[in-house]
Amino acid sequence: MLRILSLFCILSFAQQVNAQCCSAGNPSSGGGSGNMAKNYLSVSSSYLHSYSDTYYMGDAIYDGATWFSHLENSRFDFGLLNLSYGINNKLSISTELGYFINKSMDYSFIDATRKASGLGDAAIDIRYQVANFKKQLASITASIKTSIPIGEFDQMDRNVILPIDIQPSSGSFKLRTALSFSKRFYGSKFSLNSFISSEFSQRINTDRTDYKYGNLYSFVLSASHRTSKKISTGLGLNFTRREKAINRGLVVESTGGTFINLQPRISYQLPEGFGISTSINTPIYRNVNGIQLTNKYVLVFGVSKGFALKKIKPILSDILLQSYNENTLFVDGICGMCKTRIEDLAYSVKGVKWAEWDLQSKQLTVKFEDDINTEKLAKSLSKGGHDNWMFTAKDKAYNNLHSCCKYRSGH
Amino acid sequence: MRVFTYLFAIAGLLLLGSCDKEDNTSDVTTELPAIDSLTTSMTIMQFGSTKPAVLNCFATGGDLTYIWEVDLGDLFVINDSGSQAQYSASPCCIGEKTINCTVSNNKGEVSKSIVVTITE
Repeated sequence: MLRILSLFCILSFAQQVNAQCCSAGNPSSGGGSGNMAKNYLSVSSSYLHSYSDTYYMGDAIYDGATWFSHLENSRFDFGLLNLSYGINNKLSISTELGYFINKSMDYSFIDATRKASGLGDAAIDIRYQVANFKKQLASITASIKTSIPIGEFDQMDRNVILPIDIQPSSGSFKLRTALSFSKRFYGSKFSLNSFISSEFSQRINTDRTDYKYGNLYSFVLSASHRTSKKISTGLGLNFTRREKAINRGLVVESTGGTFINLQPRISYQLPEGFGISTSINTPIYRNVNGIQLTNKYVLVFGVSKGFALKKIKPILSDILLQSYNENTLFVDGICGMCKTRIEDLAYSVKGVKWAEWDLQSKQLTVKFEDDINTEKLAKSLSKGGHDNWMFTAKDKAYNNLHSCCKYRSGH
Repeated sequence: MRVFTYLFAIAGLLLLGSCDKEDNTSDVTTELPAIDSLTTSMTIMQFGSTKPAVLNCFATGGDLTYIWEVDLGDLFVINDSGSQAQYSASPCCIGEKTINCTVSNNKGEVSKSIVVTITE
């Protein structure tokens, strides 16, 4: 579960905080740096609230915004659904779907609010772990993400087709390539992640629009600390550079710029594989091209749930299960992935007909027909890295566990 | 027999009621819409202008619906019929902006464009 939370945190760290002027599409860059464990599915949903109310010229606040239609504020409420699945321990695939619950702009000199809502963009992100340094507890993951503009791009408000900066969909296909590095310290209590990416947008060329968003380059540095078995805290620093957009062959001067955002966050592990997290993303430095309305903050709330798929647990009738002998044994572990591993290891022992490990009590219940070799079962579990009623796992086996599965105190 | 009488009476009332049904079709006589002219109070304006450009679309055809569009900038309809709009621009809109007005009714639609240049 912590792995899912870690992934979610990285997702949160990767939020883009762009100037509101002339930008559209999902506010989350999605992706993330980690890859999922094999046959593991993570479903996460997040809600984002963004608010912008200050014009900047270069790196200073611009007070001269007194023109007719300057914005009092710009804001959005956005929902994101993300599914991530581990095809194997190195390769994982992630999909996301964004929905603008409300995207609006309030004008100063005219009594008007411009509003839009609806589906944003969808995205597919493929991640591959290119290197895993087990001894150093570090890994490098490469990813490629494609955004698809499935939402509305010609939404209308009071007889006016809305301009592109408020349309729910970006109207443009985007391709993002990224490389991430992750290193764990002190067992897995502390981790450091870095994420570098570049995003290129397809030129929108329709009857109405000829526009190309500026390329986006991003570097994220984040640190996470497992404060307790259930709570994880972190801090992210996001450097973003967006180039100027091009409209009908001409450079749009007041677009793009350099932004540095700070993002503290906290996540909490709930029972049954659920996790919740929250973070706030605030710019600490902006240097915009021309004059632009800039973001003040983005609040993020998220919930996630992990599922172990293709479990080999057989479907047996209650009557048959009751006829089996049962044994309940102590096995140490900490998360949903531990549960999957412990149960898989139990099934690998001859004679085990049914196995279930309880995260709260740390008890493994096994059912068997005649008898099983409990020593063999204990050995199998310790080889898999799990301390149990009979054996303590060797450090080598323990160190091979994923960072989120490090259950020993002090790690 | 009495039941049949009642049923006959109800059917008759329903039939009469249906004859009184309001006709939803518009009384306005429509023909294929045509735009006589699309005008703007300013063809060149500064991005920070404190006064917007006012656009008027003069069209004929009856029972008309006006749809306005521009790729960047702030465009608002300012009269009830939708034939008049105002346009102003923030700094991200410097350059030539093509404002399009589409007029439609049940006979068809027609569009016309006008260019407003936004300067620094």
